[in-house]
Amino acid sequence: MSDIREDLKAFVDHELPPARTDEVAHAIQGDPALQREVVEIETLSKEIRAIAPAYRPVGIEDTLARIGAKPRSGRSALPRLAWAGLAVTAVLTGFLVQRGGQNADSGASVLVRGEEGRVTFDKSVARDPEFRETGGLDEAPIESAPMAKEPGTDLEPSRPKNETPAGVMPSGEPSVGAASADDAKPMPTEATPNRRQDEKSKSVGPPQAVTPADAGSVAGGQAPSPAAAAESGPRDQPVAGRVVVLVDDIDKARAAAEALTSSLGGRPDGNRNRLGKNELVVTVAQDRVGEVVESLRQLGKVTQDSTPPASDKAGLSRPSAGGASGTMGRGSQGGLGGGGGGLGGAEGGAPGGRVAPDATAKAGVPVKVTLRIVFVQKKAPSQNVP
Amino acid sequence: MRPFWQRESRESREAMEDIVRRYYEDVWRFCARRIGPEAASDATQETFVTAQRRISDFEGRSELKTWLFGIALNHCRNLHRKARNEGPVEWLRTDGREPAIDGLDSQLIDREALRTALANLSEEHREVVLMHEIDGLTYQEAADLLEIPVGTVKSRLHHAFANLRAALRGQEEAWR
Repeated sequence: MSDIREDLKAFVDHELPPARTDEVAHAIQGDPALQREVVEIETLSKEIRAIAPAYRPVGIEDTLARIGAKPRSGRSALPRLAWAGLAVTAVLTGFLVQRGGQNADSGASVLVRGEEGRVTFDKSVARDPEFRETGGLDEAPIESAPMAKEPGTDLEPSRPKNETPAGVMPSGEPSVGAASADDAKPMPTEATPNRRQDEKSKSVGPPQAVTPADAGSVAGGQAPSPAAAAESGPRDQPVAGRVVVLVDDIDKARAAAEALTSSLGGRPDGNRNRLGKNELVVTVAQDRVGEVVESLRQLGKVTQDSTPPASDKAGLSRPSAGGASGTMGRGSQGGLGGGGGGLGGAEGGAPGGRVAPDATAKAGVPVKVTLRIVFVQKKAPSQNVP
Repeated sequence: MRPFWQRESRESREAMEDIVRRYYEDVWRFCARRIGPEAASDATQETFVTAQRRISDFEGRSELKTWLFGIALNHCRNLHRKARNEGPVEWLRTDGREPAIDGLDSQLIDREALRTALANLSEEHREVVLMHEIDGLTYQEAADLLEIPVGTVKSRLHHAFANLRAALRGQEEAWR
């Protein structure tokens, strides 16, 4: 039995060979304890995925610029000089051809003088109105030569290099993390340029993240207040809180909530696959939070509302919902398997104070906040009858 | 015909851009979950710069994404070490703000307790849990990345989950 237990996790992950899968499946069928363990493992697995923050990546343009610019830095200057030389030659040739008919005898000697083997322009001639009429140098600058149009020219790195070495691999360190023994080669063994934090913040903006399971845990921020930053970390986005709604049909209510959020300029957020069926995380302008909550009341009974008071939301006024400002602790929270009061922990108003009151529009730009909506199925009417 | 990542000059650079566009988000999230979002962009950028430099060494014996994750893992470890960070990444540090959901009938787990339990795992156990459960790697891919046998990955996951379940049961008992 113990070896079956050791394989339960791999069984749940479909990582066992077929024969062993059959053995374990057979053992599970006849043993309620194993069945319970399988459920626990599956639940735990799901919850682990749910608590992982679904960050929104930033900075791809910087990386593209850097990898695009890299080959140029190591390229020889010779092709560039060759193009420049060709351009000069073409201009000179064109000019001489045009001048040839008018000044066949003296053109070359006037326009181009040989001085110690170098070709130079006689500027006095270049300033000649007649020269200008020929479409000469002023109208055909060397910069218009093909080299200036070569792809990748505009991909110069936008930030200084070799500022802070990151990715230095201590000598002798095993190349852990390589995909294979051969792939161990890519492991960095030398300093590579790093970005400057200040430039990154200018060009990239703050990373944004939304925890799918709970928007309140981690979120990216556009302008978190110092208070919010101190409380939830500099990367956090202002979080409006959590609303629990008692509904008749979770699916319908969820769909309706998504629609209404969109109608208010917000959008459903997070990785839906990692959210519970009864959960919805939305990003909405902070001043529309009140409207969202009001609309949720149309969908069912709001049993908890930990969004900030109406004055902070700058939206519709909102009657205080049960539990919104509660201070219940976690006394009845349960652990794995729920049993008994497994999930009975009232969240009270725990996240309620997490919205930065001053995280409102900055310079006219509305601050987006995340709002977690939890739908709870109403119990059947018969259960409510004494 | 040579694989696209081994082609020369501009074609190769364009191929690298494709790789960045295709895998940037995955690599960035992989880094963010280990060293936090603030440092993730640096680590990700270094990952692709290293990959560009070494792409000709990639033989295609693993998924390209797994190979990139391997490079990213090294950069994350280096950055983590340099920052002298102790313990797990920030999102696993609990601060008592996240109680369980109230009123649900489903068997959900208190997430703060789960974070605590994850944070208390050994780094080896936590890493395989992250790789398999969150990064979505198979046992084999995690084994390749960590350069350990696939059986070790399986064993670590089994023990990690056993520890998590025991820790959560302990919490549950304590609250009763």
